[in-house]
Amino acid sequence: MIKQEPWVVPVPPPDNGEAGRRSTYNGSLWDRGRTSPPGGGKPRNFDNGTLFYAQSLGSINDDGSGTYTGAASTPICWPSAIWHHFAVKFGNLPSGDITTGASTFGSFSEARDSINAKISGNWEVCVSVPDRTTPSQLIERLESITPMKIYRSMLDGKFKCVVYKQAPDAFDYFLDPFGNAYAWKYSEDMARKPKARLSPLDAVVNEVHVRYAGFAPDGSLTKDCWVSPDGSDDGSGVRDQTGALGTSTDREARAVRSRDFYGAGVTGGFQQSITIEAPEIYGDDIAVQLRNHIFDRRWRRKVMLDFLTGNRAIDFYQGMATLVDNELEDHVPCPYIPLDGGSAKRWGDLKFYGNARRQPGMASRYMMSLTEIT
Amino acid sequence: MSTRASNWHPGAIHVRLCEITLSDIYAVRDASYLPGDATWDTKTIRLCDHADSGQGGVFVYGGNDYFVGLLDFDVSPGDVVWGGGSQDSDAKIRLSNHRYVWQKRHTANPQETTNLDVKLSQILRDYNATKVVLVDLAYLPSTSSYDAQQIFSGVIMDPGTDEDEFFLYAVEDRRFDKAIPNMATPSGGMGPGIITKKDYPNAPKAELGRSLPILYSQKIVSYTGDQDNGAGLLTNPRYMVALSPCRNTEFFRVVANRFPAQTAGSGTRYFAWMDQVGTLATIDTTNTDNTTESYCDIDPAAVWHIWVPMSSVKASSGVTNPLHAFDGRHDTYASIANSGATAYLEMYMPYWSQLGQIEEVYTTVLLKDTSSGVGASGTDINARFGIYNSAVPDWHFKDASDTTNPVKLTKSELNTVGFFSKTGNSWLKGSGKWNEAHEPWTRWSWEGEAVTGERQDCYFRIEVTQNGANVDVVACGMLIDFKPFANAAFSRHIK
Repeated sequence: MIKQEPWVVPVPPPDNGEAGRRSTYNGSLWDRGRTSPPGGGKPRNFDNGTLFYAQSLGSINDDGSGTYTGAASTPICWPSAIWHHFAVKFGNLPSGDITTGASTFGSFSEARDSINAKISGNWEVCVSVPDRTTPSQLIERLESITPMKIYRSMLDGKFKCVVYKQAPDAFDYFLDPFGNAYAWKYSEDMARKPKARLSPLDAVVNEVHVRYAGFAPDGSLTKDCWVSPDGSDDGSGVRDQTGALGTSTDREARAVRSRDFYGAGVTGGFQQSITIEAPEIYGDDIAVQLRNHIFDRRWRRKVMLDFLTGNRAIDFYQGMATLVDNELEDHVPCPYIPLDGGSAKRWGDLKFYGNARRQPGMASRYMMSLTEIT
Repeated sequence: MSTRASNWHPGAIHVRLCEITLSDIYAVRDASYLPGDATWDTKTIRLCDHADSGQGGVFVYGGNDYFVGLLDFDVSPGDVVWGGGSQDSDAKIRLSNHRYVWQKRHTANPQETTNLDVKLSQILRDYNATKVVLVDLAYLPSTSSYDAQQIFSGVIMDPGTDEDEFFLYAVEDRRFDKAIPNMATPSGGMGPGIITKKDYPNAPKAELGRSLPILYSQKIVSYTGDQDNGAGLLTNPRYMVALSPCRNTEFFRVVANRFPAQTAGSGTRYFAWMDQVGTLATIDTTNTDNTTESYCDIDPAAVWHIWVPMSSVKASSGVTNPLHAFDGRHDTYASIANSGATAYLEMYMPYWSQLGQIEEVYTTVLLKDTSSGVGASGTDINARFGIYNSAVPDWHFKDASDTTNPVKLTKSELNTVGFFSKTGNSWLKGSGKWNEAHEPWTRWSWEGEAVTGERQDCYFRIEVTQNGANVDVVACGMLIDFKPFANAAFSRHIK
């Protein structure tokens, strides 16, 4: 049980473009009956630890307006919609504190469409909340099985749901006053010495396992979808990532490059793996996409850029997508390494997710931290 | 996204505003002031970092006066870090602890003479400061339009002061982040899914305060199989994630999910985990489902259903991937192909301890659409399945009509488009052949008994009899209907 202690000064996450820990949902899924027998401890037929289960014919459904899923009275089974419903109905969060507008950054309605668009069908999961759970605990659980981030923005006080996209939509970008995606310029936006670097090696993984299809009664996971330098599995026993570099199924080849390149030229010199436990996922397609998402995000070191800028960043929402102008290339060359066999890239060829942190004091100075979208 | 033009203008003037909301829920403030300030509970202290010289020492925005008093602040927004946990936003704010125009004279009490002004720390000491908002205001000197951008909103956690300054530490508002209470912490939260004496009058005391499970899913499972083309529980445990545990609140009464009012009231299906055999039984029962609680009373005479999966296999030539016929997955299958001789797959079922009195026995197969029949007419029998007795050797208590044991599979059925499942009629019930006390099947032993009393092996057999026919078996099993013994569902996993 995580006890919240809000008076403790938060510790910033490690500055390596990846979280220091990965949320997974471990252990037995569900409570195994009462904690003590009733009736003075005397077993009384069925009344002692029997594991009964129920299944509603339709589960928790949306309201008549389709507030959470966009369709009236349909089952709520998409991650962003589940949290939206849970926070409002069980967490008592005012519905006005949730961003839901069309074509709006962080919108929950856009997020559910974006997540569902990642697969053929929908990103449908089974989530059972059998015991004491807070909305923030549910965020951690859902974010570990979905490429999304839910947080409350200080800029408008509303909750945002941001979906990780290799090709962000227009509303995901930081825009200029004319509605165009803005590219940060060395001459206009950056104080002296913008710092370019690569994300640390310890955040790189070249073997990813997504264990899924939970068996509720004992908490076991029955399937494993994985990719590594030595093979891959789409969850159904099919080796699906054997394509040549540059194809859509080249993850085994990229994993080999990651292993050998970061191993300082020694074959098999660098190998790090990550395992995601996702009992809520039962569909092979979803497991495959989650595996691919994690691998693509972490198989190589990402380009990162930090620079100090002015008031232009005042309404840069955390997690917005953004661009960098090629003007920077003359001053700070882009450290991109074409590990996938492609060509070298300049700043303007890349896309970034960013965070803006206001510097202390009255002067409007912001430290921008950008991380390459891979 | 609304990007404000003034934020991009190099000549824009910026003013930072700080609004602190006070509350007085215990009426600390003198009552004589209450009627005049009817909005007392949302009383706001407004401060800015510098004034407008043309506005008399204050900054006027939105019809309100902002007094100079904001000295400094440091805001830390929670970064978005992909794949990681969350971080709260927070702010440290430094204010001038000077005198602040606070209470105006109430018109109903003219004996009060002037405005009162007290030190900021005195106000924040006497009344509860609950919320603070920081705003960055930008405007162009030649215009009268302002662009305001909130940069922090949070609740005040830690105020402090000295004679000159007042300090606030605030964090983002997480008051929504409450857990539904359970037995260990029965109060302090909120939510509709709590077992209370009012909502659950029949619940024993030990259950009061527990939270009911919440289930988000649309997977529907039944013993006959409603999902994935009839696979259902045949592919156990794939869809077991769709089930939600119940609370057992009294003798034979289980309370399940309590659903919001908008949930379609289409009923609830109940299962019991049979710990002795490691699988689930489905329960036919009379259940009640309304807007206040969802429970069922389990009739002691209710019929339960349970699948007996296979445990080992032998196969003739022409069979590929035999284990896939009972691997619990709907995306793999075993193939049985007749290439001139009868091809068969024979699977043994585990012996179980007796769970109850057997009422009915059925056999079922789930076939993939790649199965094919080759008979001359659609009704020609291409294959059969059922319980086979190795000692006879023939189908166990053979049914010549091919509807109970064995069950026929015709050309038309094998050529069905899509998945196809077939279940035989209840077999041998009441025939006097097995439901007598001495019979092995009564003792949940899947075997025959010779007249001399010797044991005879029985197993689940699928055979393909037509040359050229092919049967692709996704799943198969034996379904037992039974009335459970009193200890049948007793769990050994009591914490």
